[in-house]
Amino acid sequence: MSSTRCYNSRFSWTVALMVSVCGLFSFETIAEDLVIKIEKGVSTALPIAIVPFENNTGESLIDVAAIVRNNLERSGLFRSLPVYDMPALPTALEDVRTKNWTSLGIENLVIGKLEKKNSGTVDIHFRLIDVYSGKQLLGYRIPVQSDDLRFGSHKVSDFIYEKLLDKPGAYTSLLAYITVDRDSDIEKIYRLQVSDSDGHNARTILQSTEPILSPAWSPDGKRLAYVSFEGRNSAVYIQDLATGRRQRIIHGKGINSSPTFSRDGKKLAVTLSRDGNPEIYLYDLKVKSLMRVTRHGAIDTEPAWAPDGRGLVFTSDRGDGPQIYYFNLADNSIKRMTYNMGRYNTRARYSPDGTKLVLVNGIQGIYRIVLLDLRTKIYEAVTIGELDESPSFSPNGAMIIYATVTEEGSQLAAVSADGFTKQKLVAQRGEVREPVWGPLIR
Amino acid sequence: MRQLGRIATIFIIFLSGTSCGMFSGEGSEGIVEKSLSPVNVSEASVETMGLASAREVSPEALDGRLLDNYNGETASLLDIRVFQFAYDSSEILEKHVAAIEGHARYLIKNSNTRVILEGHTDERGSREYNLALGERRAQSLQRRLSLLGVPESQMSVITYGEERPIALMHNEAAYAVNRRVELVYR
Repeated sequence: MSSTRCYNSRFSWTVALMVSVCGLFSFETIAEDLVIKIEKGVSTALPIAIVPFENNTGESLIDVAAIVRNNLERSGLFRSLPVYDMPALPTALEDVRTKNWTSLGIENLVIGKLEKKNSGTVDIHFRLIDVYSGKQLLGYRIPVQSDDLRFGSHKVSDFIYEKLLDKPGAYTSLLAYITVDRDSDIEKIYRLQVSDSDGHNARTILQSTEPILSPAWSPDGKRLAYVSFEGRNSAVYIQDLATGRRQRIIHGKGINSSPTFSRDGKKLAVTLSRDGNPEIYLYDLKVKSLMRVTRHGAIDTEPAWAPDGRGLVFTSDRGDGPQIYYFNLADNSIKRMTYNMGRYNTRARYSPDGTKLVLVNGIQGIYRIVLLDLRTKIYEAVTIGELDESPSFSPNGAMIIYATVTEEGSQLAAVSADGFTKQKLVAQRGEVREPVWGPLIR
Repeated sequence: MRQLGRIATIFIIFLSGTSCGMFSGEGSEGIVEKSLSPVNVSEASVETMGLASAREVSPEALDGRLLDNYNGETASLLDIRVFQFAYDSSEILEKHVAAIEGHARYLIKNSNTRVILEGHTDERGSREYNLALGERRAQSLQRRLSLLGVPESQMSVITYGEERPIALMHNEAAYAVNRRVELVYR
């Protein structure tokens, strides 16, 4: 008998966690955080100094500046000055002596302070200063709940990233992934979890003794679709993150899997094998109707919507082994996308700008993550393998998160889209797999 | 700190399964089974003809009634419930044919007996594609049983892809063991 527990969580702004229990019940232990280990950096990184923020609240609070430092360093695009190397610790604009910083080669300075308001919120004040001109590039006051300072730190990081790199930051976006706990001798525990982009603040959305697969974010970031085997056969569910309410969307004979939301959030592309072999279908969430996309005796699975909404890529082995194909919604044509890339190309996902596909490529038993530029048709490996899977782009297109098997078991790793900067996200226990990076929080 | 605050305000709501999703009726009644204990497989054991399943089966499937219908030879073939496949293939291996025929005879003779064919793959490559490969393998075995005369109504197919490995190592021996279809009698 399978046991499935659902978790309601309101993240970011509230304190209460409601736990609703289906079937068997027991208390869930606090989800372990992922820990991020940075492996390599790029020497062309922007030198920046983020001075510890002044704390006027009278309370001991988390170190906002340290979180911002870690965030920016993790992108590989910034190199931040350690606190012990700082010549001074200004927290107000008038206290900044630019000569202190230019002599160290620092180009940008961030200073700030935390102030308590009456309503139990904290204001994060920060300023980004161009050291050479001495001018302030931006300054903001961000009000947050005092237990949401980590989210506030991610917001500060986004502002700085965007101002200096002219691209959206993804620090306030979330990750979803599956963990498998093999510690128990009796049975495996599968958990669908959501965490901050740095792996902190992990919370369990669903827990089960049966496999959970294929998490997928809705475009508004409020729901997750996933596959669960709690009913013995695979079925597709959608769960609302704020309320924990979940609905079984598609079930029945055969495979029911691989859900992915359309860009407008109104449809789900899925893989169903009820008609004899796995095919791609589109499910209209409002009308609750199915529209069949592929008609072929081969396996057709792993659909992914193009950002312009005009088509989908999917995996099919109608040719020589599994390859990536594109289905055009306007004229129903199907076109193969992976040529001269060996006999195994699966699980393609678009970059946010639609110009690239990231996919799993297998050659001579080595499975690695490969980027295919759709304009130039040139592909390159961004990982070395041997057992890499489930790549997902960050919503700003700068990084790719994926799962890899190492001596420590299956864990998550991230690589910059140019392949230079690699990081590991390590779970404290069990195995971590199938990461998906949520949308930008706006 | 925040998480402790959350736990402190937990509400437990017992749901009978209504708003948290129904359980599919597909093949969920009357099955007596325990989950497989994962094993570490050495090279040597892979060479055996078929791997006897570590799963315990309902005693009814292998009771005195069976021995009445068959001699001991066929009964031992029925012990073989797990059939491996070659890499990237769903072709029935020649070495399994005798055991499969044994199961076919048993199922034809016992028309109230139903069997689930569970398809599995090794861990390499993507999970969703492996779900499909597992199903293809189970369907391949189902077709063979059907050709041998087993009615469709006595068989059903399910796939777990790479989600239920028997062997947990990351090597060829483990992959070979995990690429399999299991017969699960109800």
